[in-house]
Amino acid sequence: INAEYGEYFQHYYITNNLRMRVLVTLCVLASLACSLSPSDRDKISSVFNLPIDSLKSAYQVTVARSILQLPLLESSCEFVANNAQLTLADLYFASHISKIQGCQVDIAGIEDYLNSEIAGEGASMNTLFKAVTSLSNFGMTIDSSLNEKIAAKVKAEDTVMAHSLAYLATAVLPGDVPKDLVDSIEDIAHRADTIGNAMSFEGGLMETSMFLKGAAVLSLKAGKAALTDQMTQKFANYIVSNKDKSGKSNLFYTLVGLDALSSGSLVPTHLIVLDNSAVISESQRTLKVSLVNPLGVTVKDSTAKIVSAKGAGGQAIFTPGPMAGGDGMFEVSASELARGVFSAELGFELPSGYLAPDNSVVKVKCVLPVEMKNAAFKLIDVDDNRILTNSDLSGGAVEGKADLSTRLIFDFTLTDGSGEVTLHQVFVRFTNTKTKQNVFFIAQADLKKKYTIDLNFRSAAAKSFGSVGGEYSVDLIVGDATLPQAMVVDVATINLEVPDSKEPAADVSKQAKPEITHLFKEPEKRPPQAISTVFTILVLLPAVILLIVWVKLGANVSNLQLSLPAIGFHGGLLAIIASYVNFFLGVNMFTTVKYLAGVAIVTFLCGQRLLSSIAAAKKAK
Amino acid sequence: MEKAIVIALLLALASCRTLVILENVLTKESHSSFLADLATKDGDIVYKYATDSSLTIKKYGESLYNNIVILAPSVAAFGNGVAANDFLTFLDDGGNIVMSASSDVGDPIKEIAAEVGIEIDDEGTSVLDHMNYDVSDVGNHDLIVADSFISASVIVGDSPKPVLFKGVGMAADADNSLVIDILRASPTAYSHAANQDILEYPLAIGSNLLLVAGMQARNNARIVVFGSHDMLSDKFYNADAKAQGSAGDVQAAGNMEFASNVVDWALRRNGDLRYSNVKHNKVGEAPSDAAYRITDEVEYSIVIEEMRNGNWEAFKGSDVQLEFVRIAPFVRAFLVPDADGAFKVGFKVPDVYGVYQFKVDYNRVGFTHLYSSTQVSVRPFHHTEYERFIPSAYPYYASAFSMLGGLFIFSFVFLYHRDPPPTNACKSV
Repeated sequence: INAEYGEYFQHYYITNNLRMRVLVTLCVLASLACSLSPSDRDKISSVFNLPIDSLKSAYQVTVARSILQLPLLESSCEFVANNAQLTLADLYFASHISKIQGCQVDIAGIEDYLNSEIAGEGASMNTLFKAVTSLSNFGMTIDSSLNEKIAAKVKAEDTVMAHSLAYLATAVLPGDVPKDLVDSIEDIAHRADTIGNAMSFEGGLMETSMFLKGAAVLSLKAGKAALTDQMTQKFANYIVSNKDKSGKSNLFYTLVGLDALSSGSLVPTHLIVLDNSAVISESQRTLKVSLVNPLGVTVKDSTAKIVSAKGAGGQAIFTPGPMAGGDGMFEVSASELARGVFSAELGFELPSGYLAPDNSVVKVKCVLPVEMKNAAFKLIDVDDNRILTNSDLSGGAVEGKADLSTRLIFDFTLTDGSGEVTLHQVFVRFTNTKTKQNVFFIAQADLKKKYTIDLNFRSAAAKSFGSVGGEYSVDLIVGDATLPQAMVVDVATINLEVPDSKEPAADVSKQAKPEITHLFKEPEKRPPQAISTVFTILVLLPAVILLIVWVKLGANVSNLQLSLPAIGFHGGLLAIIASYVNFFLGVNMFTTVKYLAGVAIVTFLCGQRLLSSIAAAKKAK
Repeated sequence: MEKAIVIALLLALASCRTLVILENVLTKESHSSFLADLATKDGDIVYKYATDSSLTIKKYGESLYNNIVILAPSVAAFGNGVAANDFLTFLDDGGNIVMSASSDVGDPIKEIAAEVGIEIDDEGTSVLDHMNYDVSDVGNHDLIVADSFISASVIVGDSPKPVLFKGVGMAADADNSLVIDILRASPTAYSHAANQDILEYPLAIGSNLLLVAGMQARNNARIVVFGSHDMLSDKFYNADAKAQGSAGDVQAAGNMEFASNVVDWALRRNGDLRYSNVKHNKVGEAPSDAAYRITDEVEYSIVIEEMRNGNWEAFKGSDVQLEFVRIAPFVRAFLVPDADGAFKVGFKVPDVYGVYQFKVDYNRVGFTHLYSSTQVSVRPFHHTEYERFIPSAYPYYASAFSMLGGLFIFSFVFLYHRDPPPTNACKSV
């Protein structure tokens, strides 16, 4: 819907007399900024710039720049001249640009076209609104009898948007405003949802802004405020809360809403603090404030004064009296400095037409440095009450040793110009120089504002230090919102001896684990080749010797007789030996057994025959 | 037509549904950028107000949503009797939760966080840091600039910019190892009510103080708690940040990128891992079911994919390890990824036989737990596979063969030897 209705907006350069009071109090309670700050304006301004790529964006840029009082862009006019057609939407955008920038729209038959759109039977509320406002923007005559048609249409459509458009259209019609329509403004406002301090319609920013704009222009014409102050405040809170949104359309409607709030004859004003100057310090003693309308435009011809500036202790840092500057920009220098938070109440004199901010109290923080004084850093041996280390820290950080029987007592005061003070953050930090682990202790101030840390390592070692010994550097951290800068004082380096000191185990469960390479069994060490060669020769020697001896002794095989059993027996024996060799060379055992089975039978039978024949032959001799 | 309806139904079932629980109407306005960003992550978003009487997260025993985003830090009680327990059940069912807290934190939010090991500090406290507050903070120094991000780019993105934070501090339960410290406070920060003196030790000080914490449960469901509701707002998204006292210019706060990345992670659009196509084989051979022999050279490969911005992409991690385990790991080696996400490594099977597992157990911060194990057996050498012709054993070979040769020759000599006829010299006796 946002884009759809985005086109229906009409911008008016007339003021309204709505009493729009956006109370600063309310804003403070809701912790909302109640108007645009200069940085907000810069941010928003940068959005409404080139490039212009559609009539709608030309229209939004032109209207937004006129609201922000920025120089208008010529390209908008050019874009209209080059692109505007004779359609309702185009004419609507073009008419606004034409009116604001004063450029000509050279399209024939605009008036007839628009009037025919109005006369059309099924003309919706937004058609009527567009046509009427276009006619008005172009300075053409409008039929005053349209009031009734609009009233009927609103009744038929009865949406918040239809009402808003009707208000805007009726406001430009000649003649009196129908009373019913003006009265309906408050009724419609009741349809809005209230959350906390903000009020908005279901349709969001665009619907709410359009309603505010319509209500503003219509009540101006009727000369009668239509919304209650409270409603206006809540709507304003809602509109301002949108200033940080991104997107051209969001910012456009934020501007439209703020403009509706800012363009009344009684404009509410807001007090804003410039340049973070609500923090007063020795180098920055000036509080700068600005009085602005909801759009962030400063109020001309105004003066301001300090009514009072009290702190919690009744001290004052500003002298009551007029503030320097004018035209909505004021500043005052602190007459004296005192650390703390102060409420500065300001008073204003404004030109007629402006409402003074209802709450004109600025919270001012005065920051001053503090110093550590009267420091006494002691390490005491509890067992024999012996002081191991005692220093006032004037010579910088001390070095010391501590074990379980040691007690650390460190006291000091913190002072600024006015004397001893207590601050929010006074911590003593132990940092393990190896593991970088921090251990904190809170220093407590006594009634005389003396800070003390009393540490007994016997109990603290396990509880606070986790039984991790080693070297610790000890700092004092002093921080507070009223210090220009937090302070870190290097106090000591302590070597803490803890029996069974544990190294804190780092969590390695979510890290890569060390690589593992399997260690293979080392092959056994083997003798050199030469030795095995020698032994090979040695083991072969007996066979050689046997042969030689046999030759010498005249061994022979003269009894050999070639017969089938002899061939079978010796062939079998040879085959058995061959299959052993084969087994050694690679055949597995089962194959070998298979071969052997066959060969063994033949060899056995042949051997039996051979041997018995030899035995028989011997007997025969 | 029917087909179209079926497809539409399937799509509806497959797509994520996200429930956004808003504190009130204003939340939608103040956090519009966050919600717009959420809408780009998940098209199917259901908005409900925290006190809505129709708030339901489970129906007929099934979760209605995949994700829940709770932008209702100070809600005192959810509508329709929805309690912290219902959200925990939702987590148990695998749903993801993102929620924001603030200094004004309500009990239900604290309760949910406490149950997942994240303790949120008491109502009214805020994180204070007198050293790293934003230059625009002229008040209590509770608008702080934080940059101690966890070093896990899958959660916070690459080189996140400092973010603005204003809210409540948290501490992790020391016994809960699943809590992830997404954003820590600086060493000088502490958590306390700004306007009260510190009389007791605060919930946490320094780096123990968490600003944004997460938890990934063992079922991989995730929950993230932002300690600051404001850090997700349009205001902070568009704000500038510069820590007081730090060098350099004011720069745009990194809240938007940070929050977007963390939410991407929390909604499991980043950091999900899955594996497929586990293969192992002997070098140079096709994968087979046969057992490996000791000292074989084997290759292992696994395809790992990572969810990146809602899409599965090849995982690029360089620290994935393969373990070859028989009770204890015998080999642990880094897997090397290629462009398609296939992680490979080769190694030599140990010389100890038994039943082993190829195990990839990848558990890293920010990623879901990836675990794959494949069982294989490793056998010893067959007796034919031992070494032969060992030079040092030549004497044994030679003696054995000379024995065999000797036997063969001896059989002739023994059987067929005939003594020569006796000579005269001998006869004389």
